[in-house]
Amino acid sequence: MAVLLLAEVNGAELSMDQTAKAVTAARALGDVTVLCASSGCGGAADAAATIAGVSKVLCADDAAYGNGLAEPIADLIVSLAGDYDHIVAAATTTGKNILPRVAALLDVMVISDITAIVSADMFERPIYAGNAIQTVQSTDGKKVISIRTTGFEAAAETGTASVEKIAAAADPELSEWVEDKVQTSDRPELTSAKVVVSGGRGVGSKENFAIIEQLADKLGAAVGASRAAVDSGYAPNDWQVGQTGKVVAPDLYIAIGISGAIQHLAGMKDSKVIVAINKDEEAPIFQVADYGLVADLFEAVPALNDALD
Amino acid sequence: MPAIVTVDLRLNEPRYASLPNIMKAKRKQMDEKTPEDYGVDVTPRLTITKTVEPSERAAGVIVADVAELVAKLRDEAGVL
Repeated sequence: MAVLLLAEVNGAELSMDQTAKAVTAARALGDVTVLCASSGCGGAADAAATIAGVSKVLCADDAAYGNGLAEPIADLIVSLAGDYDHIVAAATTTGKNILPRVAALLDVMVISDITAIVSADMFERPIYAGNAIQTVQSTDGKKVISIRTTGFEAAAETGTASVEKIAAAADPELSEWVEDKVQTSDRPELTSAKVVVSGGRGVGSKENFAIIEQLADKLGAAVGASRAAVDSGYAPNDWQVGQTGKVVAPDLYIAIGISGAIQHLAGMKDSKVIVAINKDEEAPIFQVADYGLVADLFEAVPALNDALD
Repeated sequence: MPAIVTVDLRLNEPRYASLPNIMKAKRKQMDEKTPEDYGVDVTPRLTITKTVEPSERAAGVIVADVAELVAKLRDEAGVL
């Protein structure tokens, strides 16, 4: 069966980690064709062609796709959909923006955030904030699926797929790009970082968050935050880890001053090693932590920082 | 227009209905419609075959101090 995978492209650059993990999932469904839709995406298409298991890369290079607007890209996917049984993408903000529109235009359901593939029409996905795993079977002719990439290993970069340039679909002109406000950071991207250091309400203020950032920089880690910390204005929106934020699964996750509400756990409990630092020994975070340290974070974190020198 | 918009949860403070408006709402006429009235097919295309609990994480250990934590992360977990 043929699978069309929408590559995660930021600007003109391929997000290799997300796309390679999505390829691993897509391969289980059939023959994978990757679609790169952006402005000046030739480089991204060439990069996607190196992912093992990709049989073909389609490159739709057009200014209309440059800003990741859902409307033109969804129309492009729908125009290609005839040849494919599955249309998949990583469950990122871009994928979650475009796929529902594709599904609606095809009059099928979108099967969101799958964590495992049982068969070509049966998938596992977490429900109730990760408290249960549901197996669902789709009876739709075409399956539109978003993939929770933390559930899959990245495919190797050993492939040699061919790249084919395709013409852009007509722009529906339903939406217009105004501006992107981009936060630049030297730190790794939160969802693909090997180490994540997160702070919660216990950190106490925006200024105090500097000690979290300091520790993160020492470890070469991305910085995360709980919803409580973001709601209180200690950390920006896009740092939020959890059910309503990002889902991460790094090798090492350090939760500092985070009590561990179920909504937060939903976003990080697939991490390989979890460390919790909290002064409340009853905090639920300790139930999922591999290593717990009951201590005041304002003493423990600087000490940890020094110990890592 | 029309458009469907999704918003970030911190977009604004929600408005709560005032008591007089709640009372007024009770007197509003409510039309009951079925999906057929709109010509919409709502037959489920997805069947749930099973629901299971996720695998639990094994209980961890509580370390005494920072030095022990660093030692464990370095030697036992091998993540530093």
